[in-house]
Amino acid sequence: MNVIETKNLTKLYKNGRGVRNLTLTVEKGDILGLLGPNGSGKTTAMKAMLNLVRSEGEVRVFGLDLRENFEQIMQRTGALIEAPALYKDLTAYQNVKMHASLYPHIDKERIEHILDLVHILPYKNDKAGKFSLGMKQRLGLAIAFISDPELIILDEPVNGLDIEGVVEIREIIQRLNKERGVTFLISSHMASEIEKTCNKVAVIYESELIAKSTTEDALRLHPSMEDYFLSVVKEKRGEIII
Amino acid sequence: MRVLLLNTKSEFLKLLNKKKYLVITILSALISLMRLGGSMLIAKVSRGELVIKGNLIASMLSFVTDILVPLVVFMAVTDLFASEMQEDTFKASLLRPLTRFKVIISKCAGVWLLVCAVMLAMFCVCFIMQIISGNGLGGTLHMLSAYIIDTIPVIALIGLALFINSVSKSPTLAMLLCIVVYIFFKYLNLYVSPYGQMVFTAYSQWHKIWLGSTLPIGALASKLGILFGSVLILYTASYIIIENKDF
Repeated sequence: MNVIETKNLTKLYKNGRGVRNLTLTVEKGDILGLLGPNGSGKTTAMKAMLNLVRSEGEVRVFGLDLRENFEQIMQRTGALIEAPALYKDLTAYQNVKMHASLYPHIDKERIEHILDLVHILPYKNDKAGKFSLGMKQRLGLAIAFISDPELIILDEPVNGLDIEGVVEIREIIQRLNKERGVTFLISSHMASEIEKTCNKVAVIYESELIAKSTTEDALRLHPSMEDYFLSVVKEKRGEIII
Repeated sequence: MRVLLLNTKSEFLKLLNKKKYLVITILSALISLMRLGGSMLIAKVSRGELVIKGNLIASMLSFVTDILVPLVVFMAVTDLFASEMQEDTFKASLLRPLTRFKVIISKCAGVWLLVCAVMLAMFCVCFIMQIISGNGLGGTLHMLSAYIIDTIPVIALIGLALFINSVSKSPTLAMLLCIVVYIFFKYLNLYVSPYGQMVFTAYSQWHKIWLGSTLPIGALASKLGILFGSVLILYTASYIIIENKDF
């Protein structure tokens, strides 16, 4: 079953950047990594899948048209796009509670459990404005996880995290995927991170999807995800691959 | 409907969390206290020959509707729209299971609730001072109705601030434009007759139309039409702009 399905998704900004004719599917239970350099269109593609930008083409999530069924889709979806959108005047707990207020099943225990999961429970009464970049990122992840969604879209989730934090977040993603069957769409410009976290990879380069593969297949023919990425980029440029 | 109410509550709580609204209400209460103190002082100095009689609740209503409420509306709408857009927290609202239409409506409803809370607080302060000053409680119920009725034209004022916020690129510019446009509208209301009366800010003291002297049906209908027409235009235009924005 396809959790996300896009057909000819196009969103181009005035500077020519964005995403062009993106046709992509994310199946249930996948951890799909969108790999691409900075400015290649990963974030724009994710924003279009969350209706944050006006785009052309078709986006279906859980089999439903995104624009017509936005509320139903977002009831089952969590997201972290770019820098975490946090209210700096509110505490970590209040930030999560603010997001959770629309979900009737979320209680105090659930909020504290999620804050504990991302290791910021001891700082729950501290204002988000005083948090470091890494702590903000953890809080943003807590907000994405709080509603116990079936689909989680994460844009550069380990941005600003230390090595320990990167490993922790990777483990949380893989655990949620394995134990609860949560589908993930993750973007990153770090090939090694996609290699360690995801079971599928899609390469976006200069606004276009140029390759899609399982991580296993990509690594069968290439020594690392980095080599796979360079190989498909060179192929796209028409360069000779030695 | 449930999510709309829940989001209105959270937007209202978000505003209550900002101490500036409490500070501005306390300052306004102090102004009403100074007004009362001033009139008592005049009475004392003139040995009772100059006694400024009158209802404090009524006299403060003009200040509340024409200065305090617009200021609170402009600040609150700017906090929830232009500031959130600049700080990128508006995106947080859009990532919740709510359409953009509901996000806009719930934020505006949150601002309106804040205005109601501020007006209620001012009514209570004036009511207590009225009792302390020994001016009696005559007309208190009438004044309570006036305070309640005057919350209605605030909806149009929120619409004006919303429209300005939807086209402004920064909160400072939005706040400045709100104040300048409001002063301009008030100038039209006061000095450009009869067309100035066609601008909705002429009806900030809405109770004057409905309480006391009764206007002919035709006049009432035209004033209602101006207010609701303004609401419709301002909210629709703002919705179209925000709906087509990229975040």
